[in-house]
Amino acid sequence: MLGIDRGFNYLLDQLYNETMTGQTGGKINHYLSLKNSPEILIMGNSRSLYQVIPESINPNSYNLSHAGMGLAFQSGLLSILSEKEKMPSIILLHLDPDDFTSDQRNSDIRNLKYYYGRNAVITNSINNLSRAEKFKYLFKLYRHNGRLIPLLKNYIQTLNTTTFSNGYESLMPKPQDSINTIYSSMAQKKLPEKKFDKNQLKLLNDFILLCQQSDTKLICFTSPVYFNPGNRYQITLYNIESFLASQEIPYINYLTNPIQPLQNRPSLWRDAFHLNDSGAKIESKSLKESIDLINTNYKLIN
Amino acid sequence: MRTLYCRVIMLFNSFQFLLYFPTVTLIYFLLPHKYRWAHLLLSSCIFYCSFIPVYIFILLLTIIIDYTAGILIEQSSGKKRRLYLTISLIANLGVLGFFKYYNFFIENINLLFTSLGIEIQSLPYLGIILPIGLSFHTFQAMSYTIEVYKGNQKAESHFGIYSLYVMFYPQLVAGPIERPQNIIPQFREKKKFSFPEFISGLQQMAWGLFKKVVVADQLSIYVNSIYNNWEVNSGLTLIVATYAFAFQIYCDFSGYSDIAQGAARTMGFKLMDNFNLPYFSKSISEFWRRWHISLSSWLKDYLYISLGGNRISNSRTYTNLFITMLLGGLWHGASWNFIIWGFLNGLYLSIEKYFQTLKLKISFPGNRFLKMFITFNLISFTWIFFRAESFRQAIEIICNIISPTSFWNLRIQDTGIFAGMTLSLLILLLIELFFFRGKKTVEIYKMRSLLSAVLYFSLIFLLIILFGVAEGDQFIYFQF
Repeated sequence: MLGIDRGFNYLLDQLYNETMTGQTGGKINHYLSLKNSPEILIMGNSRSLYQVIPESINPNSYNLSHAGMGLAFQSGLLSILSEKEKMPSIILLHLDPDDFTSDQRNSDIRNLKYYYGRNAVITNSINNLSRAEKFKYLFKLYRHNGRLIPLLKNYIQTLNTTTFSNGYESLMPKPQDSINTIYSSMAQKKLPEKKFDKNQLKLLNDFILLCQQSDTKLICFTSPVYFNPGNRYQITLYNIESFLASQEIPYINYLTNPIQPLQNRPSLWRDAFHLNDSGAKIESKSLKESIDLINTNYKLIN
Repeated sequence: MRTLYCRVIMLFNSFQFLLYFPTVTLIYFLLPHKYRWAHLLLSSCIFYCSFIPVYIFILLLTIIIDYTAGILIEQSSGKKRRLYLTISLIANLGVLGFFKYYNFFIENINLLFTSLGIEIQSLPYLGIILPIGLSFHTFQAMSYTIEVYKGNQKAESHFGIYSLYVMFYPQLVAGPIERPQNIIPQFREKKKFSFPEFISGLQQMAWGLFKKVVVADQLSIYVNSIYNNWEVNSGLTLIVATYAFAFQIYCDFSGYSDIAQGAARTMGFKLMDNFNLPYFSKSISEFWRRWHISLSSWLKDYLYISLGGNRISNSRTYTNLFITMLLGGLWHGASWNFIIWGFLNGLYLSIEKYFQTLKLKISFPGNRFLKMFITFNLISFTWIFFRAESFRQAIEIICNIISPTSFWNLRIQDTGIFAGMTLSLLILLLIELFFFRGKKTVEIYKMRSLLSAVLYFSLIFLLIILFGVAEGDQFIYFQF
């Protein structure tokens, strides 16, 4: 068993290290392989991955967002960048209010399990999830658990790729986008308000501390949604805004201050939560204007 | 999936069990034969107490009642025998009814009065947690007193052996629901360690673990993501999720049964088969001969046949089928969804019976596969009610399936998970189709050489480590 474990782990480690695309580590590898760190790094979940076009904000920027990943993952990822001395000048972090709800379990850190035993922050975070975690990782191969198929797919894709993107993944507009958006936003009306989880602020605080240690400027933002959220996120957003204000972190909140051209235009959306490429161009433009304003104010103050 | 109301520590797919199982098996073979029953009983008590320890006293109470009833039934004659049997059945069904059906009963009484416009003070609900595996060990205990009453089984005089019959840890919480004739004599046999038997048991456990953590738990990620957001999903997505649930519940439950059978076999005990490739069935009645065999045979022997079975008029046979399947549905849980699930199965069986009476024989190429396909789809339809949280939700899911709005829009969710679940399902189907077909499931675990056993374990190990879901759900049937 030990022989099989170590042998297969060696093989898969080799594959992993040579993979430069995809969200199972390839994208992180590609970012780490860049000669120079970018000026602006975009981090977050699908609502920044598909919606923030790096070159629209700054020619020297990179989108390192990963779909479905919350703050535990982002903190772990930042610790890798810090360790490898690949910190950018500015981080644009997407905050999803749903990540601050009580059903979050921080288990998304497991998506960085390749770094278990290789990065102290990630190892500790995974060990804190349950007592059984240490036993699972006695098998080195477990670091590739649930990843084999995407890893093979991304490895083959890497072999066939000559130029790698700057991390942005576009959702090209489709004829059925409008109907999907209207249909999925109707369903949102039935969903109840979620409770705020204070523990998520600790993770955000860890993220801020890592930025401060590397003199990286942090700007947070929240993408808009198609439907009217009413007061579903009211308590959560109030807590996030208060916390960020206390830390003097700029916050661009499109949930309470929607981008006008995106409103009531379902053809710009993929569903109630995600913009398609046409909508992404509008959000990216708006983000650039807000960041420029923040930078101008910052320069004036200093 | 419904929130399970228990905090089980000793799951078959837990690390605790990884320590518990070899320890219990090792001590079993190290001990002299006369102490083995006590060791197994004590180990089973520890296993049960890893859930909610206090419930062991309820189990103990029913064990005392059934043990005494068994002896009294054997010693008496005439009406007294029936009286003792009735007392035993009332005690068992009373405990089951109180813990499992009380709140459901109260809920429906309150609802009935409200809908009739009668204002009464709402009857109170009980804030209790269902003892784990209650339906399983209650039915097993009932089969003992019924068999003693029928004269098919001698009353067990050894209290410890009888207790072990109810509490034997591999099948304590989710079956197979054993018959006393099969298992009690095995506790008295002097078991010698058999290496081939031991390896065969481990192989069956490994296969069960593969079914649970690789297939069922991967499928559950997809199924949960679709069913928990059923409002925003439609057509093909819900159909694929329902098919996925059909395989999830099969792999979850048959995986548990394999681990239970395998764990027992390592010590030389042979538990009854609980599944026999049910989705290869060509009719609903065949499906019920292959699915949860220990329950369906229990219902057939003690309920369907007792009601008269099919030796009476057609209309009574249909009624008996409905009653049996409705109660079979209710056995799974106190919910209208399970009753509807039982009703649909009763309806299918009655229609099938009706066509059998017409003696129609239609045959054409591919007939066999068409029958399998139809049977699988009919059964999958019933799983919608089994999986949905409420009757209303099940109906709305069916409406969303047939709604033409974005019918062809298949939601994959996570490509990696979807690909992993498809691959593991393919492995399962290939193995079951090409290797298991035509053989009894147990036979396949008897490997010819040590090399083939090593290869088998290595492959399962690789699949579990690479594809297994370590943070997976509990076994679905634990809640029953």
